[in-house]
Amino acid sequence: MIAVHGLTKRFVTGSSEVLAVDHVSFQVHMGEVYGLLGENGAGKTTTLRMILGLVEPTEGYAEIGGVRSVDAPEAFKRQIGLVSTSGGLYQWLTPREVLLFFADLYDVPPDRAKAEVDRLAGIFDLRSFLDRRCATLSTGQKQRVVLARALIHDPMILLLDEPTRGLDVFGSKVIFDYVLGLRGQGKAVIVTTHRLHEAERLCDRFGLLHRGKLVREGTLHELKEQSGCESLVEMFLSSVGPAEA
Amino acid sequence: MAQPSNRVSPSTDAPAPGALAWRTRLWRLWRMALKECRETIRDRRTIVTLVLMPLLLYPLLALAFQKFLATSLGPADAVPVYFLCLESDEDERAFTALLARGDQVLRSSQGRFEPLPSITVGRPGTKDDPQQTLEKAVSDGHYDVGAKILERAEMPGVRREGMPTVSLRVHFYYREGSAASKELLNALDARCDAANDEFVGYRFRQLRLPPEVQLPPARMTREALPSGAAPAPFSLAALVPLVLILMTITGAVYPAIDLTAGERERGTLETLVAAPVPRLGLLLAKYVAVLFVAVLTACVHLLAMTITVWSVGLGPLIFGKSGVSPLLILQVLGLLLLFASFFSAVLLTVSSFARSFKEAQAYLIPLMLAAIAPGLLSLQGGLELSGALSVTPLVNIVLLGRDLFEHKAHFGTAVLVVASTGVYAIAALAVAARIFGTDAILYGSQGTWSDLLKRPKQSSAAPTVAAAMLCLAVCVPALFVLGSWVMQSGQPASAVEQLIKNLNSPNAEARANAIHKLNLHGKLIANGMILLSLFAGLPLVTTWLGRVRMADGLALRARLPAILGFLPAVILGFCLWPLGHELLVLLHDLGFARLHPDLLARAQKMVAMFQAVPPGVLLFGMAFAPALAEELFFRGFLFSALAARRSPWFVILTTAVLFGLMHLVTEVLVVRLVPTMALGVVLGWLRHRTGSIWPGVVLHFCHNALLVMAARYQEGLARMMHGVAQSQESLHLPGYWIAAAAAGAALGIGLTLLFCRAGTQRAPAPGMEAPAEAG
Repeated sequence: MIAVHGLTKRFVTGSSEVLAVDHVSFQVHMGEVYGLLGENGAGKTTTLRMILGLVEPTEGYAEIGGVRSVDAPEAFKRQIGLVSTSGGLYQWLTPREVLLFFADLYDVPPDRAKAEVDRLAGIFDLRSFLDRRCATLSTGQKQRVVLARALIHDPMILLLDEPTRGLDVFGSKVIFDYVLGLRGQGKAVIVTTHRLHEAERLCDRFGLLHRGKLVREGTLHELKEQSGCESLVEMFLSSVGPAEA
Repeated sequence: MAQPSNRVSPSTDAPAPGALAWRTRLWRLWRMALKECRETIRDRRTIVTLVLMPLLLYPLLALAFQKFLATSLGPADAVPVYFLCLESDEDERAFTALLARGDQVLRSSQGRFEPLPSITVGRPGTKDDPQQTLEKAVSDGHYDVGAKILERAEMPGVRREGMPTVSLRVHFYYREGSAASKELLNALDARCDAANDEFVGYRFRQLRLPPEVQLPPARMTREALPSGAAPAPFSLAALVPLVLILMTITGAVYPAIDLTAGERERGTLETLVAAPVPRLGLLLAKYVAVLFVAVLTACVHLLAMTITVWSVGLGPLIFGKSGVSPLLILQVLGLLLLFASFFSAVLLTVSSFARSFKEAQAYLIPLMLAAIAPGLLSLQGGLELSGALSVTPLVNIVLLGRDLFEHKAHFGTAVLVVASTGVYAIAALAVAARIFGTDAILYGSQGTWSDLLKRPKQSSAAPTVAAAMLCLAVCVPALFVLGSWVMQSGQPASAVEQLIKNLNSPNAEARANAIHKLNLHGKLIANGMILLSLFAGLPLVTTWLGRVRMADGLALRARLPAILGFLPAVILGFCLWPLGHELLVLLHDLGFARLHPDLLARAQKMVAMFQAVPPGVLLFGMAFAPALAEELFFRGFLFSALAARRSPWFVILTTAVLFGLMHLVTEVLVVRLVPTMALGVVLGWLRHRTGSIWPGVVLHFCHNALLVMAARYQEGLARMMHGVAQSQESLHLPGYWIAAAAAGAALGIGLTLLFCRAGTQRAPAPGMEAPAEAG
């Protein structure tokens, strides 16, 4: 289980201060897909970055099985696969080289890494461009390589920040189908997305962020009961207010 | 689409992170560096810098040389002409006769003979200034050396043919900082010395020589004059290393930007930092890649330059008769490697602050211009590689390159250049390690230089290795420059001259007066204060900034093992120096480190000076301050930083080597390297056994105090121990002294082993992995 306790981030720019994330706490169990939803600038990406230790929290911490990220950063990172909105690829390397390089960083033995590259190439249909330079790939192809890279070490926990950004319907379906499969494997997944209809189908529980605060949390059923709304879109609009949305 | 299968997590069979062996980490670092190199080399922009630049640059430069410079400059192997100023024809006749005799003696001697350079002799005075003095003629650059004949005395009874019959008292004037001036002075000095040596031999053989014949043919004194002359001619030999260095920079700039700011812009840096690899490891891999491209660029440029120079026939013009030899190319390549290691670190550090490729370019262009400025300064002919210039970044490398091309590089200075540049590279990497991959740099609107001084939230027991290395890199050159400045400031030439004259005088009062003029007391105190401020003050500030618990991070605790360690520390402190001395003499005998007569003479002068300094001042400046400051830094601060991550013997040896190198750099005494390192090993071992710096401070203090007090009271001790001290002929100490010292040292070590069994506890380092794994 991954647990987040009171994560807070204040950015100080000159004399002004911005509270990007305000004491956010939640837990995600193994075999569960948790949707972190919110408008642009709500603090979703900053929360994911703080979980992984890429951004230093002003307060709070994340833990996996009782081990905090600040105490054992490398052990913590080893358990997690990250798909980031800003995550790019090495333009002058091929997808195969990228995947093998990251397998090495996560201490996957070479033989196993090669087998894993073949397996992920099959799952994400990478074979046709596995040995082409990343600079020549389309957006969808790149996004599939990025996802394969996040999975190369078979992590127990996945942080997916807008994993379907820039993808067409078919590309998105590949990603969503795979995430559902990961749930079946008992992995914990935290996903942020703007596609609320897809999130409804994909996630077991949701956390609604607004201006850095976790304003609602629960399963779709619980959220419907709390808000009296029928869909995530309605809930989202009622939570943040139509003028802001 | 295939669905994921249920499989066992690789984390179950992958090595536990904490258990990753050092070798495994190194191999992974190597593979990461290979990936960075592969990516950089595939980039077309790298290829352009690597191949096109040298192909275009050197033929163009060669063309420029041939068309514009070669016509105005003579070939470098033309015999250089030096200008000597004498005041009268009579002086000229007497002095040239002396020189001719000295030259003849040198020619007939067995040793290495440097032919007398071509000298044009003239008189002071110009059309504009007919009353010009000899001093002014030299300081204005009209002459390289002025020889003022102060006294001329007949030498009756000298009958050997060709031997001067007149004794001259000559006072030389030369221009400070002018290589030509120094070269001519040395050549004149060598001839006068040779003539004197011949005379001394002759005098001994002629015992019936009239007693009034006491004077040798030449009695020389010298005086440096500040240069008031126009800049000396442009040095072509310095232009070559400068061009090579600038081209090496161009090779390193692109990968440095691309692997930091470029990666950040493309978003690959985030995924890299998200991987379970220490940031320092990521940074080192990038550093190796930048260094690799820089060195590759340097090699290509060196090759292109060699081919161009050879094919166009510019070799003799630039490098003299010997041209470009394979050994010279290797030496220059080593120099470029050194420079690349330094500048790659600087480039990585600066570009790490940038948020985008363009921003990094904006930072690096001024840096490159700033690098060109001192390089251009070093083109000025006559600039000598010594003092502060030998530790000034970039200038020292360009000047060493020039000296290599001109075949006049000195080993000691070269070591100083290499050591100081290496230290700067470590410092730059330490700064980069502090900021690389931080959230401010990754996402950064908040990344500022002030992040370097940001204190962590949690306290820790040990400083980081990066912080320790940064402090070392700041302290060592600062000590060299400040120490040299203090020891030379306000030191009038006349006072030094007076001192030298009085050193051998039996009159203690005259000796004391001469020393008083040098203000040695104040200088020793100032030197001690500088040492304390740097080597104790900076670690204190750094531990505070890093929120390190000082008692742990500087090993200040004095628990039972430390208290029990005081007795063996005192014993070792008093017994180690004879062993150190014998080690020094052994190295001398084996030819590894020569105890040059100049060095011994310097030591004797220092001992003579000590005799007029109060013992309290000596003990403070040469025993207390070094013992406290150096132990706090090397066995406290640096030792704790390394001990949190490495095995005890690795730490003991590393701190000992750095301790020895620090003394080498600051004192420019190659001979002291090994004995100082050996002392460092003993001090490190004591720190390891006792877990505290205090026994080491006691040992270090006793060791230094014994030496300076023995020097201070040398005359009294010699009287007391008449006949038992070392003989004048041998550098070795009496055998029973060595035996007693060895027995004392063995006792000290035995007592330490007996009383202090605790050993150093490894303090948890910041960011170290916990053994427990999450699941």
